[in-house]
Amino acid sequence: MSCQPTWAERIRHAVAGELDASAWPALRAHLRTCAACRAAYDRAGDAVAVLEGRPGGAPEAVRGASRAALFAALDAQAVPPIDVEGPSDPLAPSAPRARSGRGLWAGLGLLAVAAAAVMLWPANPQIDLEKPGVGFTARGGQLPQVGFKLFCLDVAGDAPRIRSVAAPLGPPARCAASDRLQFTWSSTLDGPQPLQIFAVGPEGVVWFWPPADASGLEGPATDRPLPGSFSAPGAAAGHYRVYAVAGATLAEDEVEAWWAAGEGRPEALPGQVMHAELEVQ
Amino acid sequence: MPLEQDAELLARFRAGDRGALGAVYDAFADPLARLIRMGFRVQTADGLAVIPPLTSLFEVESLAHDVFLRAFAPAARAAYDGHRPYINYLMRIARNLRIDQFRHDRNLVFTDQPGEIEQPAVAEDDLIDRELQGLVRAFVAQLGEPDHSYYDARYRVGGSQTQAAAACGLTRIQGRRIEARIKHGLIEHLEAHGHQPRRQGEDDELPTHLG
Repeated sequence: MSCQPTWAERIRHAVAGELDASAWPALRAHLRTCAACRAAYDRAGDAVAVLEGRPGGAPEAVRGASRAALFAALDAQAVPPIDVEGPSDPLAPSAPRARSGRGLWAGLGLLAVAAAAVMLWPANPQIDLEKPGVGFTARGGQLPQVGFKLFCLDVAGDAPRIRSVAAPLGPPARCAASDRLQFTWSSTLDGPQPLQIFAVGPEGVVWFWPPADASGLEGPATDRPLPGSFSAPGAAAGHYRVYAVAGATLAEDEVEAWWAAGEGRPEALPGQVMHAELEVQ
Repeated sequence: MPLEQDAELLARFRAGDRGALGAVYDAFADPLARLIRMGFRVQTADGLAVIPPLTSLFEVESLAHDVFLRAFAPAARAAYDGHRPYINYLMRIARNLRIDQFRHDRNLVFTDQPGEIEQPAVAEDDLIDRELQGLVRAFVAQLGEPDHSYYDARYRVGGSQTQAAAACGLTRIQGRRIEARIKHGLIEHLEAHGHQPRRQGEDDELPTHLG
């Protein structure tokens, strides 16, 4: 019995790093039950690993998918979703930059709903930059200078609410795929300052802020909303890491290159780096 | 390996910091996979048992998944002393999982051959599929330009996609396309030459799965 062409095609894309993250669980489920496809997967994967100079290991793409599956499983064993009933600052959305083929941005109608929802909330508990792990420290510096928060907004009902919130080094935010994401940032620095926020999943960078036409941020700031409202990454269940980079200007291509280099480590990024975790369920 | 040498990383690892867990995973996933592929012999109460090598990439990744899932549990993180090589800690979990699987299915094979306790069942050098390496070398040798130059810059020099593309005077997007083309071409090359893994592993017991 041979591996059916549709599965064989997915296997080729998987080991070549072209399979969408949302397609990996189905592929794994099939491989568990189909010896022919498993042999094809092993054959292709071993060969690509040799090509990449890591014989006996896994291809970069397989390693990335395995890593994502591991963290998703760890999260599933962890604490239940955070139920944040606290209020938030209003966030003023603006039209985000579209990224072709990935469906990362929801329609403007939903954007308006999310904006209206968060406008209803009064003051937000401020980010305590002195709290360990909340802000991040410039290399060679002593005090945290910038911090950010990630909010998952449940906009399904008549009265949108914050479903979950995450800050760096804290528990993950847990979003439904239909949620909107919004951010606040804080900085102890004066004047204009670069800030990039982006999310990576098993297949790499899934979205990036700011849009090309965004104006710079002016500090100091405390829990200031970032312009924009975002759909959950790729609308695919899974684990995502949301990075913030301050003190350096990065283009989206540079961020994608950082990920594609197989590093995926904050140390490999310039400037001041921190990250929060996001679980899309 | 970073965990034994980096006290700050160890502290964050024990605290369950996601970044630290990711760094540990990145450092140990491939070494663990290679050890899992080697199989091992282990002394049990019933004699010296042979746990055969796992030769399937899928099964290796699946077992590694279960190993890390256990190793990253709070109790296991706290139990690691920070001094002994962490790869040994991981491999001990892997051995126990494999032994449990074989015991469950009454598939443990005992041997009268003397040997070191918990020694690998095969030498690491035996893991190298020389036929596969030869096929990959032949495939790379016939690459045209700019694919061959990109391959050199990406995998022989070890550059990122952006660096490899720049070395060839290409954009990153062009480099990414070339990389995908090379990998697809390699798979077709293997199929055309009828390469099969040395051991299919289809008789191996599947460990619990990736999620």
